[in-house]
Amino acid sequence: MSGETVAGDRYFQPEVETMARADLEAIQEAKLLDLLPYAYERSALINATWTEAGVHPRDIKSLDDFRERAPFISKDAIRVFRDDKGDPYGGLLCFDESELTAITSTSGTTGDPTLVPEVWGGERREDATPALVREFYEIGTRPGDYFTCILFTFRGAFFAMVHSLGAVPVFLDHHPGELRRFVELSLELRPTNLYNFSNVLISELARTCEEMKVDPRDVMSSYHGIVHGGEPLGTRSRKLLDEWGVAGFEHTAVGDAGAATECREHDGCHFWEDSVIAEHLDPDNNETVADGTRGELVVTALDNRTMPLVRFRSDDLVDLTRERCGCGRTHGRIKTAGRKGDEVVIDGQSVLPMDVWEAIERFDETAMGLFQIIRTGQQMDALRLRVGHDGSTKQPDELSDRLMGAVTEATGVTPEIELVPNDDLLRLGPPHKIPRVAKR
Amino acid sequence: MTELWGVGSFAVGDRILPYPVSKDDHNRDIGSAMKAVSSLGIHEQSRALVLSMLSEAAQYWPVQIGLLITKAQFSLADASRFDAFRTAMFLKAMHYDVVLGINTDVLDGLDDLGHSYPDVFGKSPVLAARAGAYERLRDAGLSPRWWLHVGPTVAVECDQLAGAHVDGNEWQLDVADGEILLTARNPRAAVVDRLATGVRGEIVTDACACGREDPRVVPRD
Repeated sequence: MSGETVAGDRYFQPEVETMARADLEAIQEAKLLDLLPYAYERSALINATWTEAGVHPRDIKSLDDFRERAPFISKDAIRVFRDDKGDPYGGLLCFDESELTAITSTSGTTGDPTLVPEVWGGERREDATPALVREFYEIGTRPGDYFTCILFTFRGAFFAMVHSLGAVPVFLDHHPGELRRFVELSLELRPTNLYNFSNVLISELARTCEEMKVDPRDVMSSYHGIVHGGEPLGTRSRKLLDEWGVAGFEHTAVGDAGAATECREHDGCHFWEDSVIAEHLDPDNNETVADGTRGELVVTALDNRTMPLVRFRSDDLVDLTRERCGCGRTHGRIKTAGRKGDEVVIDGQSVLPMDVWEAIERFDETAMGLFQIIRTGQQMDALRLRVGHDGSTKQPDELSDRLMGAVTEATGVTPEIELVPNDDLLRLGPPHKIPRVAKR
Repeated sequence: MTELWGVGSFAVGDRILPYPVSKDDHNRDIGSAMKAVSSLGIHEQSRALVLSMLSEAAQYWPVQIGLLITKAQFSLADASRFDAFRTAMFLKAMHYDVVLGINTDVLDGLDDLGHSYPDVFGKSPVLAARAGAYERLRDAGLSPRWWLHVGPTVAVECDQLAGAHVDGNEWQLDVADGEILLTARNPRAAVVDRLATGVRGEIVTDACACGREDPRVVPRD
């Protein structure tokens, strides 16, 4: 990629981003048929899974064959393989470990981080997709702009995408303690984009601006938008961004096979179908569910030759559509509802973290939206919530009553509330998000 | 106008200062990082764990490029209290020849988790530690080397354990009242001219037994 490919008002690669669906599927099919024998030969887990299912890559001659016959892999299958075989890569690594450039890891919010083996060429991973470059361009990043990178180091050099647009990264740590510097640098350098904010940072920025006696609208005035990831953008965060006059762009994972980000239409997060096959299936019978409805996201990473995921069950429940977006792009979009493993059912009523989020954020004492659902199994006799508060209340029972009322109104289930200080939950970090479900 | 690579930061005492880096600066910093990597004994097929923060990208990204060029393998963890579990996870999962950038935040995080430093770091032959962490590792019975932040650059101790090397092609060292002053030898996007670094110590300019002729900082405890 280079600046020479920049064209049009909002598309970085217009010919790919607005490609006819038939052409997109032809690309997927060609890449898939190339990938399958490679993965089957080299990935011990894929080989074992396909062998057990009695399927061979030569049986797959089309996308339809793939959807009909290819077996699934899952996080659990990877973990079992890892533990049984003593293979830290869960049987997915497609060549000798000595050939790797880097071994990074997932965030590890919900448990042990998963190792991510990588092969980098120059300053970026060789198998990296153009994800983020297209999104940053859509948001308005142009050569010469300053671009605020406020993140962690553990996933490597995502800022290569910023460089590939000709923009200049401004590096900050994703930590509330960095927000004073964020304010100062934003006022001085006037960056146009930011990757990425979280509910915690947005909430803390409001306080930091107050302490510094600066107007957050001035701080954010140069930003065309900010990318928000790690967790869904909460109602309170969205309200703050609206007050500050800056657009938030939701950003989410595509089942460990890539990332998806909103465009300026804010109608779902685009995933790039020239690099991933995304299916959304009924978790109970594995049938494809209708476009625009909710299903489990199942992904196949088409460009990852290091550790390819083939028909990987993400556990994520998403609303998925492939209708052409208002922005003109033809690639699919998802809206994440939650994780299948996070769902609790009380008297037949399903509750996901997203269902209680707004009810908790609406009160000043719990505005940071820090909470956990206590989940010992999917079927529960009560909805138990651990909720973080800022310590300002003198009447915790009264706060609990307000929270109970709001959650009951939102979910139809009356919860049991355990109040804890915000810091107790933030310690479960990393700072941008906490585990939303706990076993105890 | 000089084309910028990025805007990082560096610390002087408790102050964090912005640090713009041009593409020319960055390319020369990769050369300095190659020397640092070599001083730590890293070679092809070595494996290194790099502990840093994103705000330190101007210092640590050249190190990662240096590791890429050397064809060493590396892993990344934040040098923060929150992310100390990741450091422990990597060091438990596989062998690392070098852990570099260890700081007090990571050690605090390991304390929180109830890990002892010898248990976590004991199998790695080279531990390159920042000020504060160096002393704590040493007190725990380990044998760290200096990975000393000196203003916007990093001084690295070789196996001679006779002070931490600074790239003399890029930086000039002086001392005033026991404090190391740093001056850029070449034009940079940031002006660095007799910068009071907050590092207290002595400068050694004799050639090191390792073969490097770069000046060394011997920190004062």
